[in-house]
Amino acid sequence: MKSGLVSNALNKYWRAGFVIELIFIDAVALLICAFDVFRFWLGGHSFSSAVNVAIEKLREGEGAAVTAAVLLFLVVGLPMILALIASLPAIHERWPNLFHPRSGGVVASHLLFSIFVASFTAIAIAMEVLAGYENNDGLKYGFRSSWLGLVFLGQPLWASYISPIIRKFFIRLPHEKEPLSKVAKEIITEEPFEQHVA
Amino acid sequence: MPYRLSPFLALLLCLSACSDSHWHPDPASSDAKSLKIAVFWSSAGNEQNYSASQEAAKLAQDTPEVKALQDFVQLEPREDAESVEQAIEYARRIRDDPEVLAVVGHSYSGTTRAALPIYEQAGIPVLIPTATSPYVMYKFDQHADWPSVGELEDRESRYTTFRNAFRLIPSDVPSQVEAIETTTLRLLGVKTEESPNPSPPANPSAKKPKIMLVCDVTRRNGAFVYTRPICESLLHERNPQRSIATYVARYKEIDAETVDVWEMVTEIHAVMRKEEAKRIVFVGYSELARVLLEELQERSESVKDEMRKYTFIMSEACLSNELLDFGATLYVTSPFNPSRVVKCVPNLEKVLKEKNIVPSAEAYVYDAVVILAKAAGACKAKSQLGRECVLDYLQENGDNLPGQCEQYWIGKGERKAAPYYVYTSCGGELKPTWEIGNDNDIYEKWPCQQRAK
Repeated sequence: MKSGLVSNALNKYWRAGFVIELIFIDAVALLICAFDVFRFWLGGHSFSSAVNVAIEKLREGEGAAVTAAVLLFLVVGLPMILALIASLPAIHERWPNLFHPRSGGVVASHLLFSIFVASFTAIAIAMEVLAGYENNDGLKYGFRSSWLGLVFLGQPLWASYISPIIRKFFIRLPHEKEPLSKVAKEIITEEPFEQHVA
Repeated sequence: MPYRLSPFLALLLCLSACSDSHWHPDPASSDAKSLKIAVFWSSAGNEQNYSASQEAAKLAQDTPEVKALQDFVQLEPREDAESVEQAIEYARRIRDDPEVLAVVGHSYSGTTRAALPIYEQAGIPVLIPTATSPYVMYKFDQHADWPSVGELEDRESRYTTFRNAFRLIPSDVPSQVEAIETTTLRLLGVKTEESPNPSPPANPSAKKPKIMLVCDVTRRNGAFVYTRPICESLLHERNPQRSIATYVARYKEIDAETVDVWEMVTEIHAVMRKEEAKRIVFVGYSELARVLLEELQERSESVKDEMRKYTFIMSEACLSNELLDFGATLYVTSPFNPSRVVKCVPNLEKVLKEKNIVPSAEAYVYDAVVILAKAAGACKAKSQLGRECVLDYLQENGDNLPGQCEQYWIGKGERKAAPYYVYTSCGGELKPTWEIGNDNDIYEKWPCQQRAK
C-alpha cells in the first residue's frame, strides 16, 4: 500500500517530467558548456589542465558539494519542474501534444547528460581559478564561465533570503506537530520562530 | 499536489548555488584589492641568513615601475621550499590562488623543475633568475628515466619546453660547461684554439695532468637536476680541442645525505697523491663543498698534504666567501657580474659590504621584478591586467626585454648570448678575474691588485 503511494508519487511528480523537451534543455546546456570550453581555449588556456585540476580537487573534496548539487538538480529537480509545468491545466489544454512522458532513450540520455554537466561544473570552477584574477576596475576572474554563472545565479537569493528560511524550516519542523503547509506558511510570512521554539 | 515538493526543489536550487569559497573565492567579497607577484627566496647555505633574491626583491620595491603599480600589483616574497615535494606543495597553493599574477623563482633547479608543470596548468608567467639546469625548461615525466641533455636539445626531439617560463640567467649547458672547461684547461696549461696563450704548466716535462670531477647528486634538494647535465656534458668529449674529459682521472657522484666524507677524502688523497697541483672540479652546492673542504683541511696535517696545493674549479652555486676559509685556491665560474650589479641595483653595495657577501643573483631577481612590472604596466594601460596579457607581453618582447641591469634576449624561454665570469680569491674575498666571452676566449678584465702585491 505504502510502496504503491510512493510509486504513484514518483510517477506523477518525477517520471512524468522525462519528456522530449528535457532533451532540448539538455542540448542548450551542452551548447553553453561547449561555448565555455571554446572561450577558455581561445584565451590560451589548456582545457586538459582544467580537467586534471578538477579531478585533483574533487579527490580532495573541493567543489564536490556544487557538483553533487548540480547532479541532483538535473536528475531530480529538472524533471520535477517539467512534471509540474506539464500538470498545469493551462499548458495541458493549450498544447495537448506537448510534455508527453517518455522512457528508455530519453531517460538514459538525460542521465548521461546530467553526469557530464555535473562534472563540467567542477571543471568550470577549475577553469575560472586557473585563469586567475584580472585587476582592471577591481578584481574579477580573467575567465568567467557562463555555465557556472547560471549555476551560481541563485547565490544572492541563497544568502539573503532562502538560507534563513531553510534554517528556520529545519529548526521549526522537529518542534511542531502541525502540518507541513502551516509550518511553511508561518516561515514564509516571517513569524518569529524563536517564540514558537520557546 | 506537486506544490508540496516545492521546498525540496528550492533546497536543490540553493544547494547548487552554494559555492566552495576556499577553492573558488569570490573576488567581490575578497579582502585583497591587488594582484601578487610571488618572489621566492632562500638563504640556505648562508650563515648570515642573507638571501640575494630577498634583498633584490626588497630593493626592487623602490623602482618607479613597481611604485607606479602599487595599487594594483604587490610583491610578495615567499620563503622557498627546501625539497622537491615541498616545492610541488607550494606551487599548488600558488596555482590555486587566483590573486597571483606571476612568479619569480624558484631558488634551485630541482624545485623549479618540479614546480613549472603546475604553474603551466594555470598559465602563470614564471621568470627564472637562479635555476640554471637545462632540464628545468623541458617537459618530461619527472618519475621516469630522465633523458640526456643531448636528447633534449636534439632538433627532432619530442621534448617541448614550458611556454610560460623565461630564464634570465644563462643555462648551464652550454654556458657554464664551457666556462668550466675553459677555466680548467687554462689552469692545466693546455693550448686550445680559443686560448693560444695558456698559463705555463708547472713542469713542462711532466706527464699529462690529472683532475678529479666531483658531482653533488643530493636528492633532497634536487641538486642532481642542477649538476647532472653539467657533469654529463663535462664527461662527454664533444669537442676534443676544448673538452676536459681526457684529463678526468676519477669521477665521483656524492649525495650529501648519504656520503661518507672520510672515505671521499681518502679517495681524493689516493687519486691526487702524485699530482703536484691537485685540481678538483666540483659541481654542486656550497653546503656540500664546505663539508668536503672542512674534512680535507682537518686531515691535511695528518697526511702532510697542504691545502694550498688544492685548486678547486667550482660551479656557480659555490660562489660564497665562506669557502675561502679552508686555504684551497678557488676558481668559481658564474654568470653574475658584480661590477654591474652594484651599479644597477641602488643601495645594494652597502648591504653587501656590511655582510661581506659576494653578489650573486641580485641583478637577475631585480631585473625579473622590473620586467614583470613593465609587463603589468603595459597590460594595465590596455585594461587587461592579468596573467594572459603578461604572458603575451613576455612572449612578444622576448628578443628585447629591458631590465635595469641588462638587456635580455630570450628565445624558447632560454637566455641567449650571455657572457660568463670566473671568480677567484682576491684580498680575502671572491672577485671576478676573467670574463669568458661568447667566443669562449678568456679576457682578463679585472686583475687583482691585492694578489699582485
